[in-house]
Amino acid sequence: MTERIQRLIQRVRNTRHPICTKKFQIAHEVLKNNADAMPYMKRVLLLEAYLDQMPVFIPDDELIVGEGASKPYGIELNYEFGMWSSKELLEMQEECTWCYMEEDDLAFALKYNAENEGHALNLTQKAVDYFKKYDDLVAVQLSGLIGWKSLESGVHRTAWGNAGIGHFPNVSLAIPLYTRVLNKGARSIIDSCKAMIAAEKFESPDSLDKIDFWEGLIRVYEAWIRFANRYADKAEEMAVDCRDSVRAAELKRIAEICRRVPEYPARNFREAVQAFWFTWIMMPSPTNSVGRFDQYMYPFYKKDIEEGTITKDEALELLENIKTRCQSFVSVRGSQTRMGSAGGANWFNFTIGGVDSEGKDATNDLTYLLLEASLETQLPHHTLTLRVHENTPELLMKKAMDVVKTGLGMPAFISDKEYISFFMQHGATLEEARDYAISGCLDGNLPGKTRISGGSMLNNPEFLDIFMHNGYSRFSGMMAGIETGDPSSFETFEDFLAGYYRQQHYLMEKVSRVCNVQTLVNMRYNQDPFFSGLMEGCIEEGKELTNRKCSPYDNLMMHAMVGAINAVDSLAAIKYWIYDKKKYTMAELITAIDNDWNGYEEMRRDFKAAPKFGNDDDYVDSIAVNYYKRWAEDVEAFAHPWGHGITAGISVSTHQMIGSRTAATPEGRKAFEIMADGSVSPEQGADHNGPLAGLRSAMKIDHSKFNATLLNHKYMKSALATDADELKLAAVVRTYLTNGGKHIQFNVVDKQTLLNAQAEPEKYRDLIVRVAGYSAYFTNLTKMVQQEVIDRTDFA
Amino acid sequence: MIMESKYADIKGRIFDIQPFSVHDGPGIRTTVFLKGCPLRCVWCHNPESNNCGPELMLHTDKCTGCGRCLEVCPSGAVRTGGDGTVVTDRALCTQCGECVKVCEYGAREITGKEESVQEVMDAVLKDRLFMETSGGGVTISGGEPLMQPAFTAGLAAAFHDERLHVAVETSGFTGSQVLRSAFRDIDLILYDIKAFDEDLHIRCTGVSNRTILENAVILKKEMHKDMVIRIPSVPGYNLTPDNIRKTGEFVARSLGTDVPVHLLPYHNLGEGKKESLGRNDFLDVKAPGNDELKEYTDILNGLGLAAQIGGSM
Repeated sequence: MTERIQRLIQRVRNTRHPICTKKFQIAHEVLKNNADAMPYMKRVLLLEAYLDQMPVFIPDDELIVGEGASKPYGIELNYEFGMWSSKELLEMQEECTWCYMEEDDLAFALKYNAENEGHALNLTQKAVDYFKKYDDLVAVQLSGLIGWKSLESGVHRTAWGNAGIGHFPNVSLAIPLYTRVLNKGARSIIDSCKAMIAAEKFESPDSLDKIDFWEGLIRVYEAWIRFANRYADKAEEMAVDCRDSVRAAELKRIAEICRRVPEYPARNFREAVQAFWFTWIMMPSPTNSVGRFDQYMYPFYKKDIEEGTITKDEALELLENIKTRCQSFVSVRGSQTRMGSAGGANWFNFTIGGVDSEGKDATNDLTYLLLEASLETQLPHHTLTLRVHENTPELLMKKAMDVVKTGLGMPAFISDKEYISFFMQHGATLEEARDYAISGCLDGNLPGKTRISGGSMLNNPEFLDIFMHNGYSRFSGMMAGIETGDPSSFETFEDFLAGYYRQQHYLMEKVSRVCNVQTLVNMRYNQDPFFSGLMEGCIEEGKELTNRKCSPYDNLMMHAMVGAINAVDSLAAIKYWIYDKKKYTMAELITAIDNDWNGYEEMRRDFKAAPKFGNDDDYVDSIAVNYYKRWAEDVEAFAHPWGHGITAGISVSTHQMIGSRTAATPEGRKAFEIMADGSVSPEQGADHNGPLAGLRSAMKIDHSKFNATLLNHKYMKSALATDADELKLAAVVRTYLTNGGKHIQFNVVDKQTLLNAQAEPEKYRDLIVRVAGYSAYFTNLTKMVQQEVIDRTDFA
Repeated sequence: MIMESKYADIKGRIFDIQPFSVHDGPGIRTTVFLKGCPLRCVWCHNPESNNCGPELMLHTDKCTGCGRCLEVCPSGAVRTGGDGTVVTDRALCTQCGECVKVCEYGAREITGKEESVQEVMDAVLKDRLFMETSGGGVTISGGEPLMQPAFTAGLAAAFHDERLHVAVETSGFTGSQVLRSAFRDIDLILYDIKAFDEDLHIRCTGVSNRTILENAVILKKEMHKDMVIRIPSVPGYNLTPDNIRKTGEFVARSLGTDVPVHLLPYHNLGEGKKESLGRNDFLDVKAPGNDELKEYTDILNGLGLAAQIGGSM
């Protein structure tokens, strides 16, 4: 690693991120002066103003230019989500360890609150305004079924800041055509729009909208070119004053590059990297996707290497500079994310590996170099997701395991087979489907072709709970569903299950309508002219990307499941104790969970001891298979503004949040305990037959019906002590992903984590450690063996 | 249920089937642990494998003192101790397992049960996919597989019929005829030589190593088996330059330098299990560090042998 990268890492690790209001101020001014503009035109004017008015500056050592905020390492508040209350602003100044406001920004924020009562545009509130007229939708919204978006505590009601120049958020689950910028340039997008305007015959009822759309695009892309040229000017100016001749030469080169890209096609790897970065900062969202970076960048790299104009080490340095850049792009919301680690969850997913359009392995030097960049920099952002197929090279799997072993938690491994199957089931051709990449955490998309809007994080056990209370929501204290009958009245488990699925189907329809309203609100208010220029069909049809259906699989919405395995285990426990063993009655169970199992400790132990998913036990796995199938069918059953377009997916990070507000569940979970992690991971500590049995259970479920599934494994570092160990784990990964599994990722933990697990075992039920040649759950070991494992960690 | 093998009904005593074993041969393996061993190595890390019959193990740190085991014990072997804890009189215990059934906390366990080849196969073959894709298979371990030669031979033949790679972990302590029949279908022999000098071997394991050394030669030179020699490396016992050199010289001379030697560093994971079994013959030895072990692999390398620390392969 070069000294330059070491310095950049030091800087980004040690910085406190200033929360800036420059972008907010620009937006406030623009919208005040253009209150009467159409929603789309407002979005054009905002982008134009950001690009022309955001300050440009080039910090020391950077090879790639393009700041995401008005101050170094800054976060810009988004106007769309309003301002924190003055009280919260002042608390943040006191409490936040990694972010703060400088005096000028704080002064503006307080003044703004005094004058504007703390609110700008609030998209969630707009959606609520529409559906609050419908009692059934309000009842569902309040019921606790929908993770993020309760009327009372919607997290969207707090301010939201992040680094980046473009619009935020809500179109984030899509992957732009970086190739269009790299290979054709922004000028060609402008020219295409001009040609469309020239050819317009005004024979369509929306011809005027189209003209507005193209003109908006032209204005935005012209502004983007000016933005790059402002960087060129700045670099030239700095080069003149720079006494360090090496840096001066770098600055001159930066100036030349910024004069060229993104306006014109990139001619080499350096230009391509800069063009990529200029594009990327226009889509600032924690779920922003980079697509198949190793694929679209490779032609530039290959040409430069062949011509001898760049070395592998120089290319690696550029990739590492991208990593330090991504690491600095943090986001901030309410006090909860501020209490966590800096920036909360950002995914910035780089998808690597996989097959090409012909089905051949697409691994190249950049695939390895991206892994190397993560290995060397040890920075958690950006994320890497490795597409695995039958012919993924063993060497690449080994390299990936080298990175996993460091404890970075990446790359995640995903299955080409399952993702490709998903897209083909939704109308893509095989060739198109092979080009999928990951956006968000694990949500598949086809670059330039498809967009998914996030529907909701759905609390699966809550569906069951409402059914078990005959339509009544314990969360809201009011009816949410239909009356499916006294749960004690079902004579067989099959009848019980049929009743449950009737309730699920009813509730899902309501959930879908709530989400549809949000989709429509976003369509109207949250359009993105820039992103639209990089999606297929938008320019040709004259339509903004949220307002089109360019293919059967475009503009899907996705409901994410949370705690599905808790629901499955609950159903299994009910079948086992109430219908098969007949040891307890349904009425007893309902009383027990209504009392959070207090006074029912023995019963709780029984329900905890019932068959659990993750042990390759068909008793429960068959319930899971059916449950997942029915879930996917119900999710897909309802109409979407763009037709048949709702799909099932998963949430990576909300099992804790949703668990923390969900009452006791029949599988033995107490109220407010964490839910199972991911969508096909066993409940923490519920799998006793080892990790492979867990995989076998997961492989029974049809993953291809889901946009994504998630399986997490935690390992102690010593489990990957030798090369042979790494290759064995790689074989596990490949086997899982080519035989029905869709995703798997590993957390590798250190001695401190083991000590924490010993102190608080309930939080570490899924931690796998190596015990003398086999793997076992750490918390299932006796204290003495745990101690021995801990003592050994240092030697590992 | 797998297609029935002609060895299906042979029964043996096992104490564990451990899936996802990664240090008992190549690839991902399932290790079948047979119960019963003729050796009594002072450092034994599987003390529950020593005796052939079922044994009661007590995990006292999991016991809450709820007392259910007292109520059900038909032999009166469980009673309340002076300080309110549950005490088990092993002299009265018949290993009937009634107390295990009622213990909700996993504090009581009967280790060891009889299973047929078919039952073992049903459990092991669940992971077949992972074994095949990783170049793994099954490892028969112990205890000492040679204590149950017909069962071992039956398991090996049955797994061979399923085209799985079969390894065995053995001390080689048996007669040569038993050896030949038990290991006929074994692909890889992970062979312990715990000490070279007979006196030292007796001191460490309680038995002579003459047949062990002879059997090693039979396996390599007559049966042409793939072998790895493993030396459990226990400071203060067999981890001396003299013993390692002599063992290495024997391997190089009598087996050949194509036989790798693995030094398995002592670990004390067996000590807790001794306590669970009611034993108190604890061993006060610290695990050797990598630097220390490196000196010994250097000795073996000097003899032309491929030596490594740990059993990874």
